[in-house]
Amino acid sequence: MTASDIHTPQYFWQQDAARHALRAALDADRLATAYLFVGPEGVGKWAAAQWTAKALLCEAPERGNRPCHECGGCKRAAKFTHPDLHLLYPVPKKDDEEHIAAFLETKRDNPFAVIEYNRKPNLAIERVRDVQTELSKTAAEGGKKVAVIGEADQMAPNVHGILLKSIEEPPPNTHFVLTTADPGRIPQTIHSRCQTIRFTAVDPELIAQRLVDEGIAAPDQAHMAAHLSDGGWGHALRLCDEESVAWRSDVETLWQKAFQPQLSDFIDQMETMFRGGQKFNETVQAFDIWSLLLWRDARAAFASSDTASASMATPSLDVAWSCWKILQQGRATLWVNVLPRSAVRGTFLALRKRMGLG
Amino acid sequence: MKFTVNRDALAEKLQTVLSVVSTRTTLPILGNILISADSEQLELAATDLDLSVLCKIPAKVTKAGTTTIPARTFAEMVRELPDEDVAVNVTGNRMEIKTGRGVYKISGMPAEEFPKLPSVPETGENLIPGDQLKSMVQRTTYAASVDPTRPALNGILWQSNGEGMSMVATDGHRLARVRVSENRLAGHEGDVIIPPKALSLVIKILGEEETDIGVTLGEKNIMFHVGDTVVTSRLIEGPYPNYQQVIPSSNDKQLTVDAATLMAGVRRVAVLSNSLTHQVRFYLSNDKLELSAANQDIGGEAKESLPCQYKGDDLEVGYNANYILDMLKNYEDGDVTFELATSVSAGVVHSAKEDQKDDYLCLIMPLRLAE
Repeated sequence: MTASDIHTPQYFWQQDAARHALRAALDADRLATAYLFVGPEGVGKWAAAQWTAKALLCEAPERGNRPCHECGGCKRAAKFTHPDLHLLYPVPKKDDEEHIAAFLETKRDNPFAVIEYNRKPNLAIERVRDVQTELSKTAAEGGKKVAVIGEADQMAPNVHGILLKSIEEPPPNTHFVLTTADPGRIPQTIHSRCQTIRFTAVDPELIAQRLVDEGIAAPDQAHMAAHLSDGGWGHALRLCDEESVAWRSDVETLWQKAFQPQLSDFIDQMETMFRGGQKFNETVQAFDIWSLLLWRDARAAFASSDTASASMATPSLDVAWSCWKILQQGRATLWVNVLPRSAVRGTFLALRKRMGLG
Repeated sequence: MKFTVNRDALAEKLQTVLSVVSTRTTLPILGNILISADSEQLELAATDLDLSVLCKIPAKVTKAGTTTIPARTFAEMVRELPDEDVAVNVTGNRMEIKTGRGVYKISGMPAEEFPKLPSVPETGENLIPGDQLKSMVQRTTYAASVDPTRPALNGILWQSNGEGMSMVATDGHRLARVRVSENRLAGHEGDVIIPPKALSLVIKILGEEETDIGVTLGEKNIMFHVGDTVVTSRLIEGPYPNYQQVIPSSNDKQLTVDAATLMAGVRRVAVLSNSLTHQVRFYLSNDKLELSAANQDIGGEAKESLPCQYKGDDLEVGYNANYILDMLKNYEDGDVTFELATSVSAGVVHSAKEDQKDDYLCLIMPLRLAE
């Protein structure tokens, strides 16, 4: 059994408030026509949207209109092949067909998955219009129609305008579920027409525990992944894949090499890491890891005067604090289009200077 | 599943079913046809989610079952087979086709993955003569809108009440309404909006045959029986705008002209009309109709006078030539009457014969005349 088989049925892991709200609405047969699922990435908004879609398309709903997960309707909704389930989500413009297929493939295996692109994704207006045309007809199978719109904040204003029309006056038997990690970027007009359901970040300790329990990662990796995940299970899973683990180990090695008297090892390591590609997301993550390592080392140094165990000699809290600030500044420069490699180099030179390594 | 079927019959029905097989990549199963065999017949079904087509073929079934097979490949294969009986055996999702000379194998997908097709009710069917439906459809579809922002107008409104039934299509610039006095949709009162694609497919399947078409109206879909083929379509959700409101009733100027003559005239003059607006001017004075058009880009000018009957003040009005032609070709030989008011208000067109006045009515908006 793969990891995804285990967690797929758990649509609302650690999201009791959201689960109760949706279940209560279903029990009372008062599901809103439009929902806005708000919460950090990877906490299960898409999974909950899928569950809601199943509930609406289920052919043999159980007590309180809950999905049975067994009938053809539920199964096809889970595979995203139900003709009355319409999905919209932003993908990069180039090779969009491939991205769309890849997105479905990934989400089918694991609805919690966090998908990152190197280009800015967007939602093409034609796709929204196509779905609108579909929604204007009666349901293909005669029941309800569901439109799930992922990352609804990543849309051009004109697309929001078109969407608003549908949400404002939904065609009969049609339900909308929008998800977003950034509700501030959803126009007020859309916001006000949706019922908001909040999803919260999960305690990193719980995530680490589950990663270990399900045999996905060893305890130390699980711990690191959980703390870097921002409380998103999908994020944590991604951080446990081979590529991410390899990258993190490179990131840690780089940290150790940075404070040796000779800089040549550090330069070699950095060149290897940044060969080919910009690696924006990975570099942001690297800065977060270095911040964690900084405090780990600092704590070790404070606990005992013996600094041999730590890679960095940390003479005082003052220095540790200013080193942390340097790291934060380095991380921030990534958002003003500084090349990841230059940001890393600049940051480490500043760190060495602050520590008196020259 | 195991059956033997005549190749010609299979090839012919496959061609019919193939007309709705989609090439949409998001749902690969839609590229397949659903084949089910039970007792004495074989059912072929395909759908593009809007429309579904189901055909029945008599066959010798030795083992019942269902599966789905890639439609185009299967059709291509059957087309090339020699003209003799075809023995088909399906185990799991693998189909084996045996003919006198060879064995062909092809893999399908499980039937459970195929979208659920609307069930065919046995009763509640209304029979409409094929040629009547065909004429109603052909005289209205041209006026349906293709603008995706107003989905209801993309369809054809089919109304039925105690007295008769009518079909209406409009895109906001023109409108066409056909009425028949017999109400063929017995037991159904109200409006449904049907995608034109469905009606065109039914007409295509009907071809030149003169049979009745069975129509069954469900809440969510409409079903047409053409011979042993069943076409089911989703409906467009309303409401349809209240079109009756826009049909003017007090147009006081009447132009009566021979449809064929006017059509020929407009066609000639339109050659030199503006390539964007296709505007043709109608200048009306006492029993005289003057058509004119101009195209500044190529320095073209055209003018033609046609005999007509017109009483009233002089009037100059501009129309899109294509709209006029689309409309006029649906009138049989004879005179048509334009009821007009001003150069910026809608004109009503109908047959000049008093008894056919209400059968087919068109409404056309003029173009604003540029000075």
